[in-house]
Amino acid sequence: MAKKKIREHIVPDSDVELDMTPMIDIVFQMILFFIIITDFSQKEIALLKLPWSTVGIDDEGEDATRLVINVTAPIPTGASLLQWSERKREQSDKIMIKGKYVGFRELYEILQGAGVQNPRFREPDNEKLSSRSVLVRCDSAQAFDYVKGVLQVCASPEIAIYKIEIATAEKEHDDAAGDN
Amino acid sequence: MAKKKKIDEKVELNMTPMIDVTFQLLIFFIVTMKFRLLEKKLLSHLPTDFGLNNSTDPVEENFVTVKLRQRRDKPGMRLAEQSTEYFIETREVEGRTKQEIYKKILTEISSFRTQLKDARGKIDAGRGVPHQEVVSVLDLFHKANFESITFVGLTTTKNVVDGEMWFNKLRTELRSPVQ
Repeated sequence: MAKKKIREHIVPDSDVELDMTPMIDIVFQMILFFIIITDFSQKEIALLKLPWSTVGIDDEGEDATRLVINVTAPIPTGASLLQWSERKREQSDKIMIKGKYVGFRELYEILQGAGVQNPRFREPDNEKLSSRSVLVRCDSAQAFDYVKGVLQVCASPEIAIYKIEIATAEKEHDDAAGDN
Repeated sequence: MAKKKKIDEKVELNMTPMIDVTFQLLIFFIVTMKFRLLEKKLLSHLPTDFGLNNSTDPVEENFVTVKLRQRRDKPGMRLAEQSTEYFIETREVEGRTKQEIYKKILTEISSFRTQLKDARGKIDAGRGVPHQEVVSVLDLFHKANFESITFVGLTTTKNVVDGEMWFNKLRTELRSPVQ
């Protein structure tokens, strides 16, 4: 009886209130989702137009020790150059590793510390080789000479990184290589 | 009466600041978030036994070489913007469209592959050839079932790293229009 009395008392006194609990639940779920999903390694990745390839395999990015080397797009000429901001111009024709724009000398120095000279990254069955892999992301319009240079640096005995991955995009156009 | 009052005064948490903060966090994550586009990759291994081979390979006949060169016929355009010419060995592969050229290359290298069990591919990309062109030719070699592909024309590490002889020259060449 006593309980009944209390209820009767509360109902008429209380204002109409929104129950916030489900909303807060959902918002927390969303925050958790974004925290988990946000890939902080994004800063290693430059915005590029990758070359398309019909034989590329999916890059799951499962190797946490993999190094990513970006080669940015060339500076355009003519009218399209005017649309480019100063920042964009500074970032073009560059090699980017770990969020830093570097030349070949700096790349060589960075890779020296990351390659075979680092005892953590040596092939168990061959001490002269690095177990690390390198993903080369080069803009499709950029000269291949840059990629050659990167391969050359990786292949030097002081670095000895031999696992190379060349980033590609999925086929975009109909004039794909050798499609029958 | 006193008892009734106690029951009415419920201890309530003020949720507003928490909801504010939570929303701020949510907006931050939504705004900063970039979905990583799923990319593709070509897996390759650099030679581990001999490194950079400066000498000519003794078994030259096992190789089929696809040569890529930038045409220097349009003044005022930079090297990478010029169109690419394709050669198999020293013979130019001609076609009205790129697709036609690619088909011809694929047919030739495929027949070479079927004739020779240990056939190897060689890509000789000249100065300023766009990365896309080289990847397209790599595609063709892959389609023709080549397992070993060599890149021609690599300079030495010292040249790459020092930059004076190779990289600066390349940069100037790539950036200035062809005269």
